[in-house]
Amino acid sequence: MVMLQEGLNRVRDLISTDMTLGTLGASGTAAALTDTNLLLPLSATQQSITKTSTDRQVQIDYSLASTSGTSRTFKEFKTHNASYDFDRMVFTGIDFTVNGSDEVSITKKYFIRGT
Amino acid sequence: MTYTSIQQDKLEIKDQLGRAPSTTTIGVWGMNEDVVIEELSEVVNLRKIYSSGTDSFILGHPINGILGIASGTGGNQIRLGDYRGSLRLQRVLNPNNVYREYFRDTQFKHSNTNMTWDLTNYALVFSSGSIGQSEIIALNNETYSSCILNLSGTALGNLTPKVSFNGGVNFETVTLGTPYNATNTGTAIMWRLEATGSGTCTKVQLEYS
Repeated sequence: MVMLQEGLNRVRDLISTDMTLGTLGASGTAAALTDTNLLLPLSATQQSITKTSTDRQVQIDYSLASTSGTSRTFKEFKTHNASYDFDRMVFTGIDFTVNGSDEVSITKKYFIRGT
Repeated sequence: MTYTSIQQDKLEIKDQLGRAPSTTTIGVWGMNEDVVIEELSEVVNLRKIYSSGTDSFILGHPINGILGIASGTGGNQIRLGDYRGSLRLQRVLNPNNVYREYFRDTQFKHSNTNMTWDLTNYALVFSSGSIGQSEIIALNNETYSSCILNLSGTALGNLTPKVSFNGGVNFETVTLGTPYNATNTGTAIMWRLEATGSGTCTKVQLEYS
């Protein structure tokens, strides 16, 4: 028996459909399985994400316009929806200034692997 | 996942209530199959936005009135309307410092690649003399000095695998599956495959620290 490509892609689609938002935060504390939110979420950075699917893979794209968000050093990012958080990622800080000269672009990929 | 027949378990337990334990074997099917949601790379970019007006076209303005040639009062070439610059790579993160490439997209395909980055069959198809190279696959304002590179595919012995820890300045030959300590450490990792024969690579996995 084997998990079919069709079944794996169904799992991908369910994840893709459920994951609708991205938000940045300011905590550099390492991510843990038990996290239920960003540790220092910046609600003004919450944006809808776009998603692109290929075989067993989905890529999410998040963009924060130069006129949006809040002026901080971003150190964490999460994918989520209105009720659930899916993924928290921590990185070395990136400075951002509202109404400055930069916009932020983040991509993240997930792969559904069967064995 | 492993599947145990719950219904059969219930029957066995029910049968044993008030009686000596039965020696009947409980049926168990072992599928030995996993479905894993793998996190792949996260890439963070910044993009310059020329929207403040300092470099925008202004009709009749002695400096900002000349499109494409003069530098505006903001110091950049004059553009008509708002202008978005190219992406500037800031961070590339991988879960537990493990990068995986399944050839589902060309996000990390470097322009030096002349192997076939096959998005139909999800593979890197190589022949003698060809090169497959990635863009930066790890970047987080930290220094990298060691790695383990693993490949999946066919005729992988026809490949010379290399890794750069300094953004492509130096590529160092590594042995597949063997820990490697960099001669030239750095802050940006790339991989490169040089082919001496034909074959197919379906997965690249690079652990680094």
